[in-house]
Amino acid sequence: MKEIMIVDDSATSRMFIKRCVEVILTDQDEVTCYEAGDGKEALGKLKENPTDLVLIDLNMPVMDGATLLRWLKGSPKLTHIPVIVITSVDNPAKRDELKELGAYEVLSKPIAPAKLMPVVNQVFNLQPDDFGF
Amino acid sequence: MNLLDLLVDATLETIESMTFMEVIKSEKTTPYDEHMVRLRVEILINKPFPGEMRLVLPQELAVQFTKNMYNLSDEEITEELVQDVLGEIVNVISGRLMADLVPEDQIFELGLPLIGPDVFVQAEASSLSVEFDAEETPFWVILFGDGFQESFDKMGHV
Repeated sequence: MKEIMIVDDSATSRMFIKRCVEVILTDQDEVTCYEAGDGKEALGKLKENPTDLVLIDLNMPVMDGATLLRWLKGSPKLTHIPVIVITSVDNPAKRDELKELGAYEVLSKPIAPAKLMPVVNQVFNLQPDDFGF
Repeated sequence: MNLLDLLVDATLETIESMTFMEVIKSEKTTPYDEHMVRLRVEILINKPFPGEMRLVLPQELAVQFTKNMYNLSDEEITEELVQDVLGEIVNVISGRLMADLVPEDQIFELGLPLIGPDVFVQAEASSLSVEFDAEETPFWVILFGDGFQESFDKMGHV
């Protein structure tokens, strides 16, 4: 069973990411996606239930993605969780900054299964044959 | 390649990949129809230069985008959902454009999208407006601010 937290203030973006995850992991035992609309909400939920992977947007109200990433990497209970940042403000300088903060990978929007698949593959140590397509 | 080409590419690729609708850059100029209900989505560019991107579109097209993205019927579409879709579209278009305009070693920052009814204003001198067609319905993407062209010139796009 794999549990994934998707953090984005846009319900549309969360829906896109969730669809991608479900397509990528369609052949896996069970996948549960949790959602949060900002960093603060996500942090509260993750403290209660640390997931196997966190996908976060950067540009969010209340608590932005970079602040959430700092909190996660600074928490002994949550620091082990791989964090993939999915953002519209992606360029090499931003990518370097986020990786220094502890991001596992940084991907640009719009997200698509082909873009997300290799990273999810690495996170879960899946072989190409393990995917549903 | 010029600034207009970059804006057109960012808009076409974003909307087609998100809404599954064919979009083309329009070769005509549709006169402003004050009776048409239009929505306006604005996003501020905060860094490295001040600017704004605006998407203006008929409400019916906004609903069509939303229906396509969520695979929903008319009855299931809510105003909140339409606003969320439009905000995300503008967020992605502006991000793609800025990634082409800002040097790789420089960070850029966007504001949060603001959505409301469109009110006609005469375009300022430092604006670039492009008309598009999505299944024969026109919509517009407009850039405000000198920084876009200045950044484009500095980047030395060919």
